[in-house]
Amino acid sequence: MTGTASSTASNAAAPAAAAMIEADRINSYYGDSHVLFDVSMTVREREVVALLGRNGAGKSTTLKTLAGVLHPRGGTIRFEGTAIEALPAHSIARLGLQLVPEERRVFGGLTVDENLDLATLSAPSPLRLDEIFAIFPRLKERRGSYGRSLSGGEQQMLAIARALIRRPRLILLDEPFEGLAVNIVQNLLEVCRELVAKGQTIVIVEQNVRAALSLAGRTYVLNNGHVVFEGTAEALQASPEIMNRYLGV
Amino acid sequence: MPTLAQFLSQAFNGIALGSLLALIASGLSIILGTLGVLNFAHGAMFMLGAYTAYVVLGHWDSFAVALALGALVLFAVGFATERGLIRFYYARPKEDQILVTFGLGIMLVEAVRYVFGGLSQRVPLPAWGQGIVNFGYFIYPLYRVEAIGLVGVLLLAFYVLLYRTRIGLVVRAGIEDPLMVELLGTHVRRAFLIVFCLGAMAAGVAGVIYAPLAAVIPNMGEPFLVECFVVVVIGGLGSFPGAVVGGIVVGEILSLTTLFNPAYAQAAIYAVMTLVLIVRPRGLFGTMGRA
Amino acid sequence: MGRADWRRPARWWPEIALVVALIVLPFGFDAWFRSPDLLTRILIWGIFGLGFDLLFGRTGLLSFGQAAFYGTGGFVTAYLLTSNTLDNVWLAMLIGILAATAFSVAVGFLALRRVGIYFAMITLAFGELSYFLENSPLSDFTGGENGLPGVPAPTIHIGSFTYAFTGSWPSYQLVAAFFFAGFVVARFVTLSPVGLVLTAIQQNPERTAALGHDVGAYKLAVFVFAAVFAGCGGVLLGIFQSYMPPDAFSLETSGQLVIQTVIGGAGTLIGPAVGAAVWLSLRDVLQQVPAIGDLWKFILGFVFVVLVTLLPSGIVGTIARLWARPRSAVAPAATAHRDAAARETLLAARPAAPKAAPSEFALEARDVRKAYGGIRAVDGVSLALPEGACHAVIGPNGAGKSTFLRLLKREETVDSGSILMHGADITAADVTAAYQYGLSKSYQINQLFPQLTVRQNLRIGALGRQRGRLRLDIFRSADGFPQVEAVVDALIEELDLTACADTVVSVLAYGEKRRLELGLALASQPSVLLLDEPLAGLSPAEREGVKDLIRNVGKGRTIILVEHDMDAVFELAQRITVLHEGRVLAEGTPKEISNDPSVRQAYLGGMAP
Repeated sequence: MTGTASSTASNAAAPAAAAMIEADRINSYYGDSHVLFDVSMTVREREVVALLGRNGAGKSTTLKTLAGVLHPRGGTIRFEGTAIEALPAHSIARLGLQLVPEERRVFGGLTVDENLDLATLSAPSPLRLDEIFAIFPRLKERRGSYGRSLSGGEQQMLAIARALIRRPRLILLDEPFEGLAVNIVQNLLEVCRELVAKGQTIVIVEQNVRAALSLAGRTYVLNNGHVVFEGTAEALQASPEIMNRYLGV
Repeated sequence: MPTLAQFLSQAFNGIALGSLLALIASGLSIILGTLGVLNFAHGAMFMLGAYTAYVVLGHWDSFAVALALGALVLFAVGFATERGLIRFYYARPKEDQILVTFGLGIMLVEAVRYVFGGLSQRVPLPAWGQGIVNFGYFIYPLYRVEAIGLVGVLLLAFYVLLYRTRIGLVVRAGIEDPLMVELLGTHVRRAFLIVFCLGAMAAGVAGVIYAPLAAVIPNMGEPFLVECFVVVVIGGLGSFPGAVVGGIVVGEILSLTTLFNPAYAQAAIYAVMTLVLIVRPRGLFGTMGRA
Repeated sequence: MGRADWRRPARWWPEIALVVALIVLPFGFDAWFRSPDLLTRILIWGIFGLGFDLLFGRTGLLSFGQAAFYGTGGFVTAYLLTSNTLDNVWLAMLIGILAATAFSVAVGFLALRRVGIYFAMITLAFGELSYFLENSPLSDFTGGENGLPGVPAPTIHIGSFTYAFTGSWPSYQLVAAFFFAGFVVARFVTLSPVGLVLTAIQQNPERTAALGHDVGAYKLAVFVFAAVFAGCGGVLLGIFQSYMPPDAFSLETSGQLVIQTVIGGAGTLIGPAVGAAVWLSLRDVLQQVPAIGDLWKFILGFVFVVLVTLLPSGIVGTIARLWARPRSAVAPAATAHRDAAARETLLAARPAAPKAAPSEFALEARDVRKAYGGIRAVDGVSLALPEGACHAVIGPNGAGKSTFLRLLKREETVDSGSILMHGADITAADVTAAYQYGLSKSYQINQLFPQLTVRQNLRIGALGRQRGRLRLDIFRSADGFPQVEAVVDALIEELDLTACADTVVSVLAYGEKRRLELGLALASQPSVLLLDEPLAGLSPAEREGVKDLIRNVGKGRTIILVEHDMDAVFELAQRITVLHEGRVLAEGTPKEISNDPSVRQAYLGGMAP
């Protein structure tokens, strides 16, 4: 049930790049509910890694542990050489690891501008607003609107923009396409591809497997808190039994 | 039947009292919205401001110094309270937080009673505040008009602080979603300290302004504390606009019902509070369910 | 009979100790202070505090307005007597207490709509309102800021024997008698099922409601109860002093009650009296010390703050904690052993739907819809489960599974559609009623009562079904229902929790807590059981255990299972419904579902890259 199938990880992007994240056997808990069991993963610079699995598998929990929202009880996490498993979330964000949480969590009582402004407060050299609006022209139109009056797609754009404006070394996207219409998902996928082309390192958690695989170079599959597959996107797609067993029904 | 002059006079009183309540309640509301702590010592902090005015104006004839010193004293009190006491209570149940601020309030009141005695003190009106203003329809004490102006300026400053500064941005975002603020790299807990100090200062400065208007006694903050609770319930927890609007509403209700039957003024605001609780529990502007 | 049953002599030790204390102490006070008056005052606060302790110490409702009822009781009685409306003092006392009770029903009805901070603010406001009313509009009756002097004391006439309670010692006897009676009643409450429910409400009000207890009604009951004690205290104050003071209504009085309770120890019943003793004697003593003098209240405030911070259990509470054995070392009381068959009989399903109409389905959902804002979480879901079925509901994230489950369990209202149990329409029922009908749920995140033992947790669940929504059976022992205890014992064995049956839940391992969570749902012997991710957070070995448990308890019951562990779903479920974006995407046997292309599409993502 928990066999691990891995194939040689080959990066289509660049020759062996530096490891940005090295998570080694992390065990995470919600209260005393054990949700991650000895999860290990590596993310290299300029990579796009997808974390897949059914819900309840522990994908979001993994991202939250990396970002410092949860602290693992056992295991280590190194981000560009620094041990971060015991650091508070705001310190990790300042190191350049930026989480875009599921449900977006846009500040409803603040305008788009204010949301972005808040994101720049602790960033040493943030992007300029016009640079952000170049990526998300729709947000420029809605600059003065309050977060709560934005549509789902606009909120997701704002959530990603908030992360991008900080020029993060690594972006963690937690279910960015959930609940969005097809054309908006296409739009966001385009944005992500442009980011990838510019060299942004991304880890994406998505239940929409096809969308995730269209972006990712490497994948990890989680089941009941264990890593059950590690390999390239192509390798995963070439294994329908694994896909059905752990991602389907 | 009250005359037009009486009516307008009381309406003005309502604004004077209401804006004062708005200032005090704003302080209470941001503390409640950001830290989740219902500060039962808030009335005592208001009282400390009044006594600071008493001490200062007994020696110098400078209202500006009284205001500055009042703000400073309450900043110090707020700082000491948050660092020395409140920050150990963030993880504890709400009832414990209420109890400890309640105890603190008693300590402040009793300390003042010990130092200054329980008799009421008089704070003189500043020279530029003496006399009356003739509005045509009615005449009105000058200082009260100036007090309205002063409180108005302070509320404006509060507004600017909350809506036009970085710290205000952090506070407003922190009231909504403190975790997200952390994820964006800002240490929210550090902001808590500033919020508590600001809240205390708001109450203290209100106390300085109020001092020449009434008797200064150790437990003068008590009625204001209760009225503040009514303001916050009506206006909505954690909301600055709610505190302002709620404050004016309560001030006007108190003043205008006094015109018709002084005995029922207090009952009137409790009736309105009850109505709000039944019909729209989150208040006029409340959005967060912190209750 | 239960361990706290009134027929058991051992249960009466505290009362006996109290009688002894009440007889002996006044002589000590008399010798030291020249009269028992200080003790009388302490006991008046003690009576006031008995009710407050049930409200705050036991149920967790912090009220800052109890003075409203203290004052009402006292002033109504004082007015009736001093205005010569009534001659009979006892009757006036009764009316005073009834007035306080009536007032509390009105205040409680409004104040209990909220909890926590709001509740504290509202009660404080009502307390101040009463103070204001006493002072001004009603001053003709209350004497305004002068109060009401000349309150007479009651007398007893038995034949030719007459005894008037005037003077220091008779006053003491009157108050002590009331305190004793009050303590007896209050203690009955704490040992009764009512007391257990109140404690449950303090620790987890939502689960208490979901286990069949009418939380709102219990809260109102304890609020009114506290007011009865408060009114009693106020009445006795007026009589004792021959004068009813206006500050009986003040915030200071309410505040002093709170402080004394915390200092003495909330939840101990005598805590408030001990706290009053500390406060009043320290006040008298400290004021004499020249260096301190007027600072006595500051010092007491400081002591209060220190106690709240470091010793939240108060004086009596801390002593009680040190006395009690450490929790983890408690050996379990004997759990009656029964074999599997007997357990099965005991735990068999007991349906009780309203007007049970003959129906082939145990549970039915017909076109159920629920929207939040503009989002349609559940968009026309229909389901029909025959008796004894085990049916899984699965679907990707955001499919609406949890919402659907909450609607079934009546934790939320449906926008449209209907839910039927054994043919009877339960769409309008609330979560408490659903439990009473035999519909029960086990939660994804453990919803337990952390400061109670495993046995007590299960008892709360079983009592809900046995006693109905609300029963004020304060003279019964909490463990005095043989049928309930039999069910609890059987559950403990079935859940393999015998070793930790009398251990407090907070120290249990996660796996044990998860089994208990399931057990709580079973305690009502439900006919329909909703399981929300029962395997969440369990290790592979523990999963097997829980799966076995589900198979065992599933016999003769209808089960709906929401789970992400697909292996478990395929093992346990006979049929599966797949939800997607709030609608039913497919329904069928596990084999049919796994072969269904549209299901695969939904899970793997329907969008082409």
